Amino acid sequence: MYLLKPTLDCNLRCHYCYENEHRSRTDDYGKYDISAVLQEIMSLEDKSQIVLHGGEPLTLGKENVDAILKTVFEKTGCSSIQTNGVLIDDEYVQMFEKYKTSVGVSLDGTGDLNRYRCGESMTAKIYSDIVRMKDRGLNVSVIAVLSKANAGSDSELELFENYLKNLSEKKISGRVNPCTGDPNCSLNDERLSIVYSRLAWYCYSNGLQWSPFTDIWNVMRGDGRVVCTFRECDIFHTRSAEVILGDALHTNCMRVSVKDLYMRHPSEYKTRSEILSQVPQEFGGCQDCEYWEYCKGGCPSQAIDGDWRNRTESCKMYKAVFSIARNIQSFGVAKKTPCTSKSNKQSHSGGHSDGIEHIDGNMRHMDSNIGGE
Amino acid sequence: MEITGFTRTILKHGKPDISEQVSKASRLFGKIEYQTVLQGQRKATTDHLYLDNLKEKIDKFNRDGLVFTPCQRSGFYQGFAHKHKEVKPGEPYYWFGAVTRTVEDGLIFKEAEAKNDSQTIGGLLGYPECCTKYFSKTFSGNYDPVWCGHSDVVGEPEINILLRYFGIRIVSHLPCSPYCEGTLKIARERVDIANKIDPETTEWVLEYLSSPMTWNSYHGVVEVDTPDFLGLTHTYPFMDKPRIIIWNKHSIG
Repeated sequence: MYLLKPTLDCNLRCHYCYENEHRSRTDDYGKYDISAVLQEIMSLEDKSQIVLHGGEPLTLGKENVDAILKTVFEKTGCSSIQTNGVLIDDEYVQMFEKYKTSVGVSLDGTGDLNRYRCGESMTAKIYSDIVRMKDRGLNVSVIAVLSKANAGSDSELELFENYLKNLSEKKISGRVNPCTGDPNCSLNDERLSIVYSRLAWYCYSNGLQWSPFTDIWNVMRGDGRVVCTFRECDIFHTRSAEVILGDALHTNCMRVSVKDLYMRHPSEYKTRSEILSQVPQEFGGCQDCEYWEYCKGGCPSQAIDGDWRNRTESCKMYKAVFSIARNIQSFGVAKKTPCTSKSNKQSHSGGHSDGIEHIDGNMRHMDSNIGGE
Repeated sequence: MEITGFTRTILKHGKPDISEQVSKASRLFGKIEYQTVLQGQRKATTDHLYLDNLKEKIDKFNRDGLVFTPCQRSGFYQGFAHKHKEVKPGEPYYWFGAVTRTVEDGLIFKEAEAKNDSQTIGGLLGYPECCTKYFSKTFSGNYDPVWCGHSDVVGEPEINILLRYFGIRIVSHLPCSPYCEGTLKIARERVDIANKIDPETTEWVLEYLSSPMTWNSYHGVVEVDTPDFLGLTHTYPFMDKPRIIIWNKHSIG
């Protein structure tokens, strides 16, 4: 998957966003050369899924967004965007229809649950747009960040569960990512484990298809369709995502380049797996972990002390969910298998031939055929 | 703990691509190694011969009146290696050996190598005695003993060995400290030789070695953070916390 990040500028700038570090490092984060980016898209040799990402991509303006989606559509037969949804209007929806755009929207819940992102009226507008786009036949998915705002208390978590269920009933699914960018917003280790365990039970028992629960289910069954979190990511050559910046240079998933922004290394290495499999757990490794084969130490961007040479700091949470998934698979108590939709068994024409998905990207849509399959 | 040997240099966004200068620096270092033996500054250097470079290298040794004494075989590796790699049946290998001006010195080196006699080897390679002792003392417990006991350094660029894995260096040995007088003397002789071979690259190497950088070793991987790139390679695994050396900006006087 290519993530086009022509601009890192954003109209929301949530406190927990991992790109705040990049924005604070340089004043050039909003500078871009659209013609160079378009040329770069055309020169890409493979036809992997190309996602217009950001920053907030709609801040590029309609003319630029149209030019990019059109170029991607002409190259691959479809297009994708990941947006916070604030600027979506009728004209954009028509543009998405025209260019067969899969739309990923970042929204942490309805009402007050989304307060770290924006106010309630804007949240309602974005939610309404999500439903509207789905009703008009667009592929729509949602990325929600779990934080104190939507999972700090059990009552908020219950509302969040309803949010996932309501979206699922409209055949919209997506990812639930842990908030890691701001300690004031993040759930602590203990709470994160409780929250993810509860959501895992909720999703598995109701047949809801949300990542990472579907991924954990899949990986434990030996199914290769798994998000990058569990796929031995090399932070200097992130296999699941190759980022193209506003100057058309290539870098990696930007979750993992906090201190400096590194150019993409031409080769992928398995060094992190080699390290973690041999380093004792008491020193930040994964030696003798019963879930090693499934987890591989988790996402390096969430590594302990921010050092990719350690395992994920969300280890406790993942172990809890792996344990739940294993118990359910052993005893068969799931209402239905969480990840068996027909279209999801196929690789859509836009890529993912190896089944890997990116944590920040448009997921492969589980309820629809992307790209005209 | 076993990690597949590797070296990687990751360029930083918006910085110049210095890969060509790094290649030149690495080649220059190889020439310094050779010339110091040829010109008599020391008795020996080491080299690796394999099928593809055998004729070219032996021809050169013969032309220059030098002797290659094979000591032991080593499995192939890319980039930098701390130790000889085990030779596996059916796989290609190097002959590691000594390059000397006399057959006698070659044989002494070979015998010392077989006995793991660091003092004799260090003497033949022209290393300061203090550094040879330091190596003997530290290497068995840490095969990458970079300035043990030091964490914040303002040193002379000629002694800076933090980028040695990537070919940017003046001296070939591990100095006992970033302030070792014996090393500095040797290093300055080597800079004189380097200046005669390739003054432009020599100037670049010294400038680069004087720039601020951080060496961070943890879990068997060392990261060297420089102004233009991040270098990574395998190393001795510090387990409980990273070992960090900060090399501060130094002006060339």
